[in-house]
Order: sequence, then structure tokens, then C-alpha cells
Amino acid sequence: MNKSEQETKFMKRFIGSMVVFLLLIAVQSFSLELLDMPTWLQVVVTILPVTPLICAFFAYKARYKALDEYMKALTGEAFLWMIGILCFSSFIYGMLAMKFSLPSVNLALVMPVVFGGHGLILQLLIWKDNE
Amino acid sequence: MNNRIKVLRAERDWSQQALADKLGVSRQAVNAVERGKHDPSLQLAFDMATLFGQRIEDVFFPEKKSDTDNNEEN
Repeated sequence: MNKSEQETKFMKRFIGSMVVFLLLIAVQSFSLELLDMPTWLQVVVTILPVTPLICAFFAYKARYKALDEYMKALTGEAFLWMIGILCFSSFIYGMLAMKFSLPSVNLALVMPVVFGGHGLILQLLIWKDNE
Repeated sequence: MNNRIKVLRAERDWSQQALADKLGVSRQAVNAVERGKHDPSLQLAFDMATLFGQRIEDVFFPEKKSDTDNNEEN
């Protein structure tokens, strides 16, 4: 399988996962609002949208394995930067929260911020090497 | 590590994308290797040398110690 076929396959899997995610968010919202369900079923419905995200993660992992050595190195470096930023910012937030009253941060935002930030940092690293 | 990829590529009138396609890597990888921003693996270095019909030591050669020192200072 050549690079463009792999990229097409990844995009299909990734976009498919995102569409299913949005559908499950709609299912989650409507069923929690409109249906009278036992607690265990509410828990299942609430975390159901995570499933396509796990599929998207495995699609991304397969794409990573298909990258060339240079792009693998840059992708790893971008993740290192993102993990560093996330760890230091959460540590600073935690330190401040011990002494001051801070606004709460929804943990569900962490994943989109990490993956979005990773993509941005990766592009910056590519740009830096190409300038 | 220094290299003669740009010269060898120009002699054959190959673009970075054309070389990347022949090697099965991204254009960014060719650009990074060419500019000395990324040291290729032995496999990629051999693939490049073979593609150009050269010995690996005629394509890639180590930086002189003074070059390395200058780079570190910069």
C-alpha cells in the first residue's frame, strides 16, 4: 500500500470516527433528556461517545507506524512538547488552586486540546526545519 | 553529517518531491536530510546512495570537528 492510499484510508477511518462520535453525542443528549433509564444505562450512554474516539486513536497509531523516520521523529518531538506543556500547565494550575480560588476546568477538554496542540506543534516543527 | 544530495539531485534534475517518491519518504524528510537537519538511518542513507549510483561515503560525510563546534556555538 503506497503513502497516498494509507493517507486516504486514515482519513476515511478518522472522519468516519468523528461522524459516529457526533451521532453518539446526539444519542447521548437526547436519551439522557427524554428517556427514563436505570443508572447503569445512563453511565453506558454517557461514555458511549468515547468508543469512536478510541477507534480514531488506533487509526492514528496505524498512520504513525506508516510514517517515514523523519516524520516519526518530529511527531514524537511534538508529543514531548505537548506532554511537557500539559504537565507544567496542570501542575501550575494545581499549585495555584491550593492557595487561590480558581475557575474549574472540564477534564473532557484535555484530549481535544492535546491532539489539537500536537498537530499545531508538529506543523511548527516542520516549518522550523523548512525555513 | 554533511551530504551532496542537493548537487546529485540537481545533476539529475530531480525535485525533492521526485526524490522523495523514489525513496518512499516524505518531501519534508528529503529536505531535512539535504539541509543537514536530520541524520538519516543507515537504511535510508544506503537507499539514497544506491539511487544516485554512488557509494555511501561519496554521498554522506561527517562534519569536521570545527564545523560541529561552530554549530554548537551558534
